[in-house]
Amino acid sequence: MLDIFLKPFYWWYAVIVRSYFIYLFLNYSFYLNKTDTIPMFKNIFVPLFGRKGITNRIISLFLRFWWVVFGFTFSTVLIIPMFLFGILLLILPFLPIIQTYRIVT
Amino acid sequence: MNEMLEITTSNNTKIILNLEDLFKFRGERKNRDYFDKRLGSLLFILGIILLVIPYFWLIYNSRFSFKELWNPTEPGLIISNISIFLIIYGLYLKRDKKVFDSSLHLEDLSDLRKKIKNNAQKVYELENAFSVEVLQILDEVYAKHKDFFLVALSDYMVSVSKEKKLLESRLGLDLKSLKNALLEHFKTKTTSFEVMAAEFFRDLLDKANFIESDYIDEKILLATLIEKYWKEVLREFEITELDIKGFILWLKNEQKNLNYQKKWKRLSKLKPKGPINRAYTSRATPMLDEFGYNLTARIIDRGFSISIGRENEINTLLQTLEQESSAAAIIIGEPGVGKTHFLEYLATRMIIEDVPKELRDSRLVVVDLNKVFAKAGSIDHFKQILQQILEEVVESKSLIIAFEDFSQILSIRTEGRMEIINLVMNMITRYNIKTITTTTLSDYYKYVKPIKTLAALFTPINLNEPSKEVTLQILLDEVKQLEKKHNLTIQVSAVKRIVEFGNEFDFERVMPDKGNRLLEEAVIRAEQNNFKVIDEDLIDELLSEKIGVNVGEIRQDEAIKLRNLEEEMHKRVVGQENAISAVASALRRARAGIISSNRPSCFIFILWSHRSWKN
Repeated sequence: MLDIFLKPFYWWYAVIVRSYFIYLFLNYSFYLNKTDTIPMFKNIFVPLFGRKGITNRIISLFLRFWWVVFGFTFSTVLIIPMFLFGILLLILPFLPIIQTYRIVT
Repeated sequence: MNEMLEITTSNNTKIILNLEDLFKFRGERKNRDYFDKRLGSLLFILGIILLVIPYFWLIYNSRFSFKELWNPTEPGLIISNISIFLIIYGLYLKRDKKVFDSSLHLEDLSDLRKKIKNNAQKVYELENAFSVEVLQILDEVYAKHKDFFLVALSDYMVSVSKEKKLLESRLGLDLKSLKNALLEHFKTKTTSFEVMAAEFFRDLLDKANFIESDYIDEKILLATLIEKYWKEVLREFEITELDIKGFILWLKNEQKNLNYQKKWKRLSKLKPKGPINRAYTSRATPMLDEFGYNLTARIIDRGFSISIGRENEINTLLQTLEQESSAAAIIIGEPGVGKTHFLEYLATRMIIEDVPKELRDSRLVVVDLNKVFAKAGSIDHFKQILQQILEEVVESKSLIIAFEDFSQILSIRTEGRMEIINLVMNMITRYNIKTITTTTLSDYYKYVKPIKTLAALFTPINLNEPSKEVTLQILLDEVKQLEKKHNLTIQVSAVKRIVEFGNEFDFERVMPDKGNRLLEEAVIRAEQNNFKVIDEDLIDELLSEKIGVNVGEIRQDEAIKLRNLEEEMHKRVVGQENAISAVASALRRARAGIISSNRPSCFIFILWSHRSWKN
């Protein structure tokens, strides 16, 4: 009998919430990837176009740094609504319990 | 019956199966699953209605405000909160059970395989190796026909199962006759569950491991039955062990494609869709872009291609490309044997990252030598372009370069030929460029072998003509597309006939290419004559035209001619009784099809004096 009540909760977190957060992570990676933030971050100290002069190194670092900052900000802003929905999924099964507690007290 | 069944698989791993858990629904699993889904939908809809109605009620009475949303004293809101339980429970009942079960125990067969490979532990409890459909089938058959388990299971697979169409489309079987033959065959055999359970589940697991499936699904069940239990019956339908082997190899390929698609779904989000050098680290490669094409990018656009039965060859190629020096391979095979397809298979594996670590972030670029020849005005210009291409490859790194039909370079008839060969060899050895070249067998012996350093540089990989059973499966894949395109039906027996006579016609080409061409010819002939079905007769007709000798069933006029062959020959030859009877017998044997397909029909060596009517 306990199974009938506990399994749906377990399923909710093990399957629904887990797969949603995997989906969220993949989407975040997709945005970071689409904006070339990850390759730029990985090569932050590598000069552009294989030209290894000191001037080019400085320009490259400057350009790559701001590229990463903008790319990261842009991707994060895009992912925030999805993240909020994820939080809602996390607390959803507890919502009725919280409400019941509030009614009782 | 023991509740726990201990199975030892072919790789000496002990697996424990809980039979009580497996058969706990006592034949009602299917109904139970159906009921759960319906009830789940009902509860979900009810939950949604209960969630929404109180808000509408508040809006209707003009009492709705956002502050009230958090007010638990409203009775409507209490109801809507309870409805959340109903929604979750409804979704739980409606769930995809396979996903749920695997998430609960975090294990399926592929996880188990990995564990067996990496871990020394020997005993595993197997709980989630079955797909929902197989669980339903096993449950039903066990509950109703425990003492005739195999008969009932075979009957179910032939008459009800979703996968029964594979028996028709891949093995050319008539389901009704197969069913009768199976029932007749198992009449005298012991097929109770108690006797065969351990062996049966072991066979299922071994097959699933061979096909590399995550679950024992209906296809695995069918393949196990065909290979282990129906073999003798299928022999009556002229299906040999080789045919079965080909069918199972095809299943493995299909599973591989599915696994790749699944993996790609995840990987595609992290993989670049545009040019690979997005961090602007390397120099531009204008020559390579102009004279080559990116095969890995092309495969992403067009879809994956997987070669059947080429595992040894691809492993040798990957080992060669992994080497730190002379990572160069030459693929040797006749035109039409599938060299380009093999390269596409390598590109597919690179995309899916089913390759050694070093090759994972690489791209496979194929240089179009025809384009280089067309563009180059002179041999010096050609050499210059080639050098630039190779320099770009060295600079860009993480790149595998491929030259299709490499003998085009080796067969240049000018003085500069050796210079070009030396240039290619030097660049490959000095910078260890990962290179793949393709050529034919005759060209390999003619151009590559004589230059010893060149032959030593490239690791030869022979792509032989696929075996008959594999060819049949490749052609059956082709059949599916042709049927769809031309709105025709091509019988499996017709394709079998093409494979059977594969060695007898079009000696310049090899299978599966020449089989494809013959199929296309058959389609054109069928369309010309308004046939809707391509059967053995039509293929026989085409083969007879190609070979120049009648093929297929012997017609009445031909039978008379064969019977009176000696008399016919005597019209032109006087005497020579022994010789004529020997030739006539040989011809009759050949026409009846009781000779080896690898030997000539008849060989005559006439030795006699000058002007003795030999001709």
